[in-house]
Amino acid sequence: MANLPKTELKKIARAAAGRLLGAAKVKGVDVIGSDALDYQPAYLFSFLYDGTRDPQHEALLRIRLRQKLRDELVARGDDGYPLITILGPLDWEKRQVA
Amino acid sequence: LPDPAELLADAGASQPPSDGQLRRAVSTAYYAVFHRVQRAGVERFVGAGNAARPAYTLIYRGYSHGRIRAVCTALDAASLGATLQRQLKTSAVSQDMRDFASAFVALHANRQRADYDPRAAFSHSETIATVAEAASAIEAFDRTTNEERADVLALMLVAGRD
Repeated sequence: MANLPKTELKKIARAAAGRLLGAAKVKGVDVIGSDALDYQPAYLFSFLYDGTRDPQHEALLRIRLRQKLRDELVARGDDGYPLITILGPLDWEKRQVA
Repeated sequence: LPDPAELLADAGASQPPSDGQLRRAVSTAYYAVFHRVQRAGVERFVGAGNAARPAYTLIYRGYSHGRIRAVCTALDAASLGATLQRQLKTSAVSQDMRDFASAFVALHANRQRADYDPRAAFSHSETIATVAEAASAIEAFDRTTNEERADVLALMLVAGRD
């Protein structure tokens, strides 16, 4: 299994989030390795989203965005499981960066 | 279990919730889904009217975090692996089952972060979204057909052979 470079991961994430959340509303993308899954590698993708937050709608978006990322990663031979946080501007600076 | 949505609403009623309150809400959201799976399994294989039988408790406790998580990780795929295809006799699960599985994996990971990772940061809005995702996961699970749910519940209970 491959470990894609960070630039490639961010490119994949931005494209997927743009399609699901709206490209103009996704202001930033970041990714770090995560050990939250102790049985397989994982990534924590953070998205800076500048749009209306509706929890019910966002719940489904998170699920579908995670699935889209998972499919894109698997298709490229990367088994890292994508975890997601969607953050507003105020929380973006406080995100986990390492 | 306390309702995670109410837990969070109460915590944020008068002031921004503390980091500890946010972590507890994230953890509780996961457990709400975990116990939904356990209850569905025991009601399917023992029967809701048999709660006093030893089998009820045995089956309920037979569901483990790790086994459910492993099954859900494998189900969260556009195309199932060869072993799962053979066991479930399908190339992929329904969209509702995949939504549930995907949410379960993420909720479990967030619960791990909330309970054990002091570096993890949880914002109020992100925590509200996590609680909403747990509710969505339960709704998606309940929308699956009885047959598909039974197959997956069996798989979560018994490792089987490759």
